[in-house]
Amino acid sequence: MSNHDPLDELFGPQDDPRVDAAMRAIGDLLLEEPDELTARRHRRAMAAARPVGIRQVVERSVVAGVAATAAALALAAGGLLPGPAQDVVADLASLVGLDLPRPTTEGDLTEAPASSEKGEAPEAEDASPPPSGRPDTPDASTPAVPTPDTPTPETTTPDTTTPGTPTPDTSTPGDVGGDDDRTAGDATRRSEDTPGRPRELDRPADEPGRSGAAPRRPSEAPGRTTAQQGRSSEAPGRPSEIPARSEDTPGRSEDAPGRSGGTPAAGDTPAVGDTPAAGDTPVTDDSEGLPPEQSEGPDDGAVGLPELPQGPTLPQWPERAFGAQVHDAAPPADGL
Amino acid sequence: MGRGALLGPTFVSVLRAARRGRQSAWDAIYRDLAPPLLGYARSQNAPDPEDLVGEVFLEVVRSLSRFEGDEEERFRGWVFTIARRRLVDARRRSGRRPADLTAPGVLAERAGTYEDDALERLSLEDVRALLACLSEDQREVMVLRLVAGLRTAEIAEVTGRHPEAVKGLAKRAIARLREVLGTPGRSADDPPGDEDVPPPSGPGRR
Repeated sequence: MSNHDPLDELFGPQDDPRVDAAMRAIGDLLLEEPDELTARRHRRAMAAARPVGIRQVVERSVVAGVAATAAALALAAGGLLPGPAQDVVADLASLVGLDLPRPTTEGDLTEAPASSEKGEAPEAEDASPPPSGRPDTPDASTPAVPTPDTPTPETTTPDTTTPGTPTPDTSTPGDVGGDDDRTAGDATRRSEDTPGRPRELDRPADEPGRSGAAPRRPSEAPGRTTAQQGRSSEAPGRPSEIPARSEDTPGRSEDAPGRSGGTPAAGDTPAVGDTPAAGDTPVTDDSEGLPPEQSEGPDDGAVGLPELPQGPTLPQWPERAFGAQVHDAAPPADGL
Repeated sequence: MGRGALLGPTFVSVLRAARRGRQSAWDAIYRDLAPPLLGYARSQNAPDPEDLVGEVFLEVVRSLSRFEGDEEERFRGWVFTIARRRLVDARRRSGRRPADLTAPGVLAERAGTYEDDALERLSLEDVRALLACLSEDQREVMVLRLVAGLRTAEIAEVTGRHPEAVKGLAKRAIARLREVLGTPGRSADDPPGDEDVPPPSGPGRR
């Protein structure tokens, strides 16, 4: 294209000024700015239709990254993430000097949140630990003995404490006679259970998990009330539970004392002997008298007991749950 | 006369920034092109000139990546090509005919009445009346030249004609204007004649 345009001559100065003026008027008057509203509407539409530039992409991704980080930190701070994720977030947070709770054991991390939400103590938990290859199994098999001694890392620690607690309790004669055996048996259970769930004890985060488990108790409660009399001996076996029960069922006044003191696992020593059968695996012990399911989940439930209305519907979760609860409950009992 | 390249030397940088999505660049393009586009749409009797302009800019935004080159004239030609297509679509949708800008009677009253001084104060209505004297093709060439500032080549591209055809249309349009404006000194009292549009030079109008 050359710079010379044939139309330049045609539309150049005219010999007739009237034509000149008319053409000037056409060029000027037809140029009309769109009104403000229309212009704004057009620009908005253009902005919406405009392809996103790299800069905008970067800006948006930064914003999204910040939001995601904040969310992850919030979840991690609450211990709500599954174990591996919690670890990762904690690692990352540590880079910037933030301390976030880390899961001690993998199993706990992953399972805890789920159980807490559902209010169920996942049976899988208890069931899983026993698998032969695991370090836990041995602990379980050796009931009371290891407790004090085994300062095993984190996982075992909690267990040790539990058994430890009972000992002092033994001094408390409060436990109803005859219960002792049971207590012992319970103690063994505990010892067994505990290994399986090392974490929960440590974790403050377990609390939520317990609350979730709570529902089980109520179900147990009803069953117990009736069974208790028959079981009077059994009941005592669960020391830590006692406090909770005493509240629940006044009728159990008898048990209460025993239980309150029950923590004592005093029976522990004897219990060990009792449990022989269980000796193999804690689960077996539990399973003897109780339905297999109970052995696992219930630990957490201890906390919530009093609050839950006894639902006669729950008889399926009998004592086992207690056994488990005792575990969790144990630490508080100590405090008491 | 004629608008020419308003962005001038800054056009290349503006176009580049617009391709990167810069809001300020798009604002500059809109400021530069919206008025002639609106004038073109009105002069062509578009059913809804403002909407047409909006549609054109939307398409410009979406299709900018397909525009090659960095000459402002070419860019303007490309934009008006889009506008013309949209105009054809809009007319087709509305079923409106393009030519009825002004009632013939209005032009009849006006024709030949313009005094020199009056021509300096033409209103928009006057301009529309003048344009209504032209054929559709002549009018389009006039507007694309005088309002959009396009050159022969771009007008040819926009209208899909050969440049020589464009030149011929432009010549005839100017001659027609001269006819409509009449000879200087002709007063409005002079009878317009038998025809609706009384060109001073008599018949041979269209």
